[in-house]
Amino acid sequence: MADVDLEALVKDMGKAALPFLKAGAARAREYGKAEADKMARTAVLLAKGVAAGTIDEDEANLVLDVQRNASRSILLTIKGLGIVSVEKAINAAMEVLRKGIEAATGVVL
Amino acid sequence: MGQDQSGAFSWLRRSARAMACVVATACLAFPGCAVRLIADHDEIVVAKTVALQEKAEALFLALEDAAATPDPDDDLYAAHAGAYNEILVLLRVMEVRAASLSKNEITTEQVQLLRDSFEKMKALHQKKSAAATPGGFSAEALQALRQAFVQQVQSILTLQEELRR
Repeated sequence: MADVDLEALVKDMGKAALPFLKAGAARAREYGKAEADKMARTAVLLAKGVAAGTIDEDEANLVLDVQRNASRSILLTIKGLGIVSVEKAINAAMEVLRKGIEAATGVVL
Repeated sequence: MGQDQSGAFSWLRRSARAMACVVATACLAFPGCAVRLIADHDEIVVAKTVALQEKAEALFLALEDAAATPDPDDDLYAAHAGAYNEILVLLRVMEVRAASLSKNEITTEQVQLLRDSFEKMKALHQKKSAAATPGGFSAEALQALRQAFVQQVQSILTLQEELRR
């Protein structure tokens, strides 16, 4: 059995995982920004409506409740995007490890 | 300070080795099997979310039309009760489906939040319709509400799209 260079293997695993983590962070940032813009537009509509008297107090409270739910749902999506990117990173690292073990042992996993 | 740093690096190296050993064991124990931390894409939830979006848009359109006409009766809850109930039935079905899948807590919570939004909208519509001067939603309120609802629907679809992997 060939020797396994553990330091090099760990480094390669990190290299394989990193692009997925970076891509996940970029995707979450892009999505979060687009949704924040939409929330701001809703807030402007609400403020204008309340100021003009075309949106009453009950309606304003309902819009705020629904917007709060939308914000939580968006945060859940961002959490999900993060989990998916971590999952992809782990699987990429495991693939490097699998190949390393195969190369060292000659056993196909 | 130098000793502290070298201790920390040594601890990191040991941790990395330990983690590699754990992953190696997992690799050897389950060859070819990928780690899954969150549920897979669910075509049924996607189809029901799209169906829900159609029904919700139909309700918003009907409410917007009603708000634009002088007839007060078409603004009232009774004229739209069927649409609310259809939407809530769909959301309950989606919730049961989402909750039945493993590692699907995020989608389940998103559907629950959407149901909560529609239940609150229905309750306020009922309250307004039963008031001393019965009425419905204003056009401006409907516009703001629709934007927030659409964001909720899109958040579910965005996550599902990502879960296709």
